[in-house]
Parts: sequence; C-alpha cells; structure tokens
Amino acid sequence: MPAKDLPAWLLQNNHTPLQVKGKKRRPGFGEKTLRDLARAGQEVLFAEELAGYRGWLQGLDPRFKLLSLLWLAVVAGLARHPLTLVWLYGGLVGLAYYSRIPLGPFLKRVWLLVPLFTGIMVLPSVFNWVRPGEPLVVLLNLAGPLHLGPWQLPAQLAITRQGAAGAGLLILRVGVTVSLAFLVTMTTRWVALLRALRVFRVPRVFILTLAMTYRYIFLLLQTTEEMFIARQSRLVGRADLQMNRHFLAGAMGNLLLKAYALSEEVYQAMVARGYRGEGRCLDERGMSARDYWYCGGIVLVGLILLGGDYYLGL
Amino acid sequence: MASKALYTLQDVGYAYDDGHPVLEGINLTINAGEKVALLGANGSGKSTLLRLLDGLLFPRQGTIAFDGQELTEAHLEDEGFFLAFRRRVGFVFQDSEAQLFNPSVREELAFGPLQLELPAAAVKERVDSLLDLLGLADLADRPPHKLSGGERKKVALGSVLASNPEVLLLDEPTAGLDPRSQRWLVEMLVQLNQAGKTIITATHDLAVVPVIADRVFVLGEDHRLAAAGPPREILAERELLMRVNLIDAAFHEHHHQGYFHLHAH
Repeated sequence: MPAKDLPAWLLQNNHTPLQVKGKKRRPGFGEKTLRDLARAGQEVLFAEELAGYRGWLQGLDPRFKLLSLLWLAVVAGLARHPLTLVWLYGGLVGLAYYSRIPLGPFLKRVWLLVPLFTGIMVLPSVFNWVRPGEPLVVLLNLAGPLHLGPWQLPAQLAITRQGAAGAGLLILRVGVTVSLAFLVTMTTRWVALLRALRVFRVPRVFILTLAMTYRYIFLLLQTTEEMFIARQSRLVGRADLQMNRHFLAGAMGNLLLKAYALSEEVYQAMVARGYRGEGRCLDERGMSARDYWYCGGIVLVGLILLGGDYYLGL
Repeated sequence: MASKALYTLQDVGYAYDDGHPVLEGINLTINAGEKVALLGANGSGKSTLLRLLDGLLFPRQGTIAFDGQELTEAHLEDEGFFLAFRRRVGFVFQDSEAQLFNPSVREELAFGPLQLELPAAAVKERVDSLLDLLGLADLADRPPHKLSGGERKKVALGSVLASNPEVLLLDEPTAGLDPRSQRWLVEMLVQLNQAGKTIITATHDLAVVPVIADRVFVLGEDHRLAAAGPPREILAERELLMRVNLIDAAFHEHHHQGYFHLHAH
C-alpha cells in the first residue's frame, strides 16, 4: 500500500524556541503518581537487596524465622512489665545490627507509625472519664460532676497513672511485635517467606496464588508506569480535573483488560505444562543443625524473658 | 525416510465466540522428527493453530489427531491421557511474561516436571543440568522479571525442555530478541531437532525459516492454508508471499554462503 502524502500541518516546522521564563511548574497528579510508583518499586528492590545480604538473620531457615517470630510475639504479648519489652526490643535492635539492616529506617518505620496509630486507639483510655484511676495530670476542673444523658462524668478531667501505664505498655508491645515482623520480612526473600508458610499448613494453592500475585504485580506496575510516562510525555500545560479523571478511568480499564488477557494466557501456559489445579512445588531444604541451635536459643531467650517478667511482677 | 505421522489435521476450523473466523479448512500432516514452520502475517491464525496443536483450544470443525488419538476436550479431561500428552508436547509462548509465572528461575524450570509427577530427586537433577546447559546457573534464584529479554526466552525454553517433550511448539520465538540471542535460539532448535524432537515454529521472521524448517505451511489472510512445501520453494514464490502479506515490494532476496534470505531495505 503506497504511503499517502503528509497533511500540511505535519509539514510545518515553526516550533517555539526553548526559553526559561522563571515560572515554576507545579507537579500534577501524573508526576506524583509516577514518583510514588517508582518509590514503591525501589522499596521492594531495597527489601530484596537487604534479604540478599550476608547477615546473621539472612542465613537462617525462613521457616525457623517465622516460628521464632511467632514465639517472640507470644512472649511480647504475655509480658506484663515494660522492662521485659525493653530488653526484648534491645535484643531485636542487636539482631538488626548484626543482620546489616540500616538502624535509622528500622527505628523510624516503627516508632513514627506505631505511636501514631496505636496512640489514637488507646488515647481515650488514658483519661479518667473513660477509665477511672489515680490522676497523674489534671487537665480540667469543673464546678461539679457532668451529666450527659444516662452518663455521669467526674468533675475533674485527668490523665490517670493506670491509663498512661497501660497505653505505654500497649504501644511498646505493638512496637516490639511490628519490629519483629519487620526483621523477618526484611531479612527474608518474599518467595522464601511464602514457601515457609507451609509450616503452618497453609494450602499449596494459596501460596501459589500469592506468589503469582506478587510476581505479576510488578508487571502491572510497570505497565501502569509506562501509561503514566506516555501521558506525561505528551502533556502540555496542566491537565484539569476532568481530564485527569478521564485518564485515570481509561488507565484503570486498560489495566484491567490487560490483566484479564494475561491471566488467561498464564493459565494456558500452566495447563500446557501439566497443571491440573493443584500446584506441586520443589521440596524445601531440611533445617540444619545450626538452625536447630538457633531455634533452641530463641525458645530459651523467650522463656528467660517470661521468667524475668514474672519475677519483676506488676 | 518414512516417518510416522504425528499430527493429522482434517478440515480444521476455529472461530471466536462472536463467529469471527480464525482458521478455516486446514488439512495438514506433521511427521515425527520434522522441523516445521507455520508462516503467516499478523492475525492469520498461527498462534491459534499452535494452541489447537497443544490441546489448549479445540476445533469448532474438523479433527486433530496426535499419534493416532483424536485431541478432544473429553480426552484431555482423562488424567492418563492428559499426563501422557503434556509429557510429549511442550509449548513456548510468545510472551515470556505469561510463560514465566514462577517466583524464581529454578522454580520455573521445576514446575513442568513436578506437575507431570516426576520424582523430586529427578526434577532437581534435571533443573541443575538445564541451568548448566542454558548458562543460567548464576540466575537460578532471580525472579523472572529481573531478567533480560534473551534470558527470559532461555528460561521459557528451558521450562518446557525440563519435561523432555517429544514435540516443541514455539510461537514467534525470535520476536524481540537481539541477534546473539536469536542465533543461540535457532542453533538450539536445530540441535534439539537433530536429537529427534519435532519442532513446530510459528513465525513471520523469514530470515530464520530455512534454518528452522524442512517444511513450511503458509497461512493466508483468509485464514486458510495458502501453500505448503520446502522452505526454498516457498520463499522463492514472491507472488505467494506478497499475497499472504509476508513480504511487500520492497523485499528482495540475497544468496550468500549457501544461505538464501529475503529482507527489506
């Protein structure tokens, strides 16, 4: 088929010269989304990189790591004295150090988020209006008790000693548990972690589905990034809200169709290699003597902590 | 050499659910140990034909027989038939992203033989020897999305070879590969064919056809078989290749070092 003549507008070459005009362009939602996508990808890559380091925790069997996570989480849950939790947390920081996890992000991730979210939940319980107790800090003195329908509130609003201690203990407990989970996920490849779920008798098909989801999220993330970049490269000026909504709806639909077509092809590729609805996997490696020693060590540490906690009492 | 017929297709037709035809009236025979190329322009039905040959789709019309047994949905629902057929036929998809669904190269290579109930020890042995054969030992624990296009294709081929199939179906295997990876793949296919495997390749890359095929089937844009014959004869028929949209007037042929190929300038 012979090519048609180019239309007149395509033959014009009167392009605007490049000029710096000093007016800053504010990033639109496209750029922000791109940045977020890139950051999400980088974080995962960073986590995978950490998991690949030759550190103390990285060398252990993932199944053992999962079991010890669970055991230490139980210890943290049973601990009644803040000192026990502080000791446990100190141990975790030591483990993170010997596993070459950068301590800055490790501490920040836990202690910026946990007090915020757990704090909001436990905030009401520190006041004597919600949970009576010995006043620690008096915030408000009213003339007399307050009547709100069926409720009667004391004249004094105060933070109680019991409330503050309980909230502090809970925040510490949550912080320790979240740190435990961080330690395990940051020192184990996602794939190995998923496989380790077999220890808890999680069905194979469930693990296979999770592994495939993780695998294809990257592909779809890449497709999304490409769609955003393609749009960004053709965007002149700022897109208004309606344009953005149109683009977003289109991108979502496009992604859904792609994911659907891909899932069909993946399924065919699985059937072509003999898949019959029940995935079979390579056998996990056996635990080594070193793993058993560490396993014993962690159980012992947990028992010592619990013993110490009992000794310290309430 | 009188080879036995492996695939026999009689009046095979396939159409999408909306009635749009993909293949019509296909009659062909593929013998055991042959190298065959399915040539055709985009949308001529090559990929669908490969999926029919792999028992992933079933003809709406006509019959497909493999080693004397008809490939039907009912037959493939039979456990014994399914396992035997899947052990004998392997399919390398065009899109390696779809083919490589496992989290690591090692697991990818192990998937096929494990599904086909090979003992775990034998699977491990196969995987190790494949990693060595394909030069992928260093990438064994890498996730497939971190591999280059050429490496992905190697893993995709390896994942199918792991079951040691008698027939290899390949959909546009050289598409998107750099010259070195292309050459590696073509040489590997020739080597596999010399080892007795039947190689069936769907492609529109005319340059590789004389090397990867002893016989060529050409699909027209009307979804029917337009021609069949040895590659040299088919590639010499300019008028036929232009009619089925495999070349246009800008293509010309080259003969050098005993090779003959067509390409555009």
